Amino acid sequence: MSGAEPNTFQHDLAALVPNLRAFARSLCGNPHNADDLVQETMVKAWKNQASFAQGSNLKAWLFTILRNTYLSERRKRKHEVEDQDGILASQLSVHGAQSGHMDMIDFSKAFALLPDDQREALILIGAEGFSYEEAAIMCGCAVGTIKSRVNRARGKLCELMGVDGAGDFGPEIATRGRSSVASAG
Amino acid sequence: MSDDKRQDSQMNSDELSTSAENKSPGNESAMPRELQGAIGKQLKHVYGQMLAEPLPDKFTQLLASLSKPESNS
Repeated sequence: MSGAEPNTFQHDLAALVPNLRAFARSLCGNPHNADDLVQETMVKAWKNQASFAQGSNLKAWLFTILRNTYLSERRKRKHEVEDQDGILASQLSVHGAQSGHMDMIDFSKAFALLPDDQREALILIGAEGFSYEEAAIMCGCAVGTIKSRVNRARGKLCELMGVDGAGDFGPEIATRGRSSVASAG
Repeated sequence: MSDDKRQDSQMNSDELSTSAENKSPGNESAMPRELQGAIGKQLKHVYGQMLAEPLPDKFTQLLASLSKPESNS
């Protein structure tokens, strides 16, 4: 800071670090690995900032870097990751099917059990608010593929949580819904 | 009317999504809007909690070190 113009790239990058962390954690599950991934993404983004097209979506650009970094690292340890996912998912889906509502798994656990591509699509669309078109470009696939991943993610969440109606989602949402009705009436 | 056209384009978009990987095209409309909204709220709630977490020092330190001229060379 020597009286020079504030670096807007740095400023914008800093503002998006929480989003990068949340996205990274959604992708790789482990918070420690996620933070390493974010740091690597920040360094890459900084080095390549000249290739960022001014005025385009910085968040989409950063997410794409993070995603590519994650995927290329995961490719190196593919077997490990696949085994863990497979075992966990099979254990919990059996459990979920038997237990019904009494001890159904909560949203975060169900979310963690989604297949990687579905979890990613749901985050990009449902949490980060990217358009289907933006998400398709970021993931290098067709718009219809993103749509179907989001739909299957939603279906899988309901299945894992043993939910078949919005009322099953707990008091928080029920209350919010009621208060909005009350204020409308 | 334009109903025929609309149906056509709908079929086309279904084909696009199913050709890639969707096994059950009927699922697209199976979930009530209400339930979709409930999932969306839960998702934003959980994700919002992550966004709201305080940023560890290592990130601010990294940002500071990136912007130093020496580290650019």
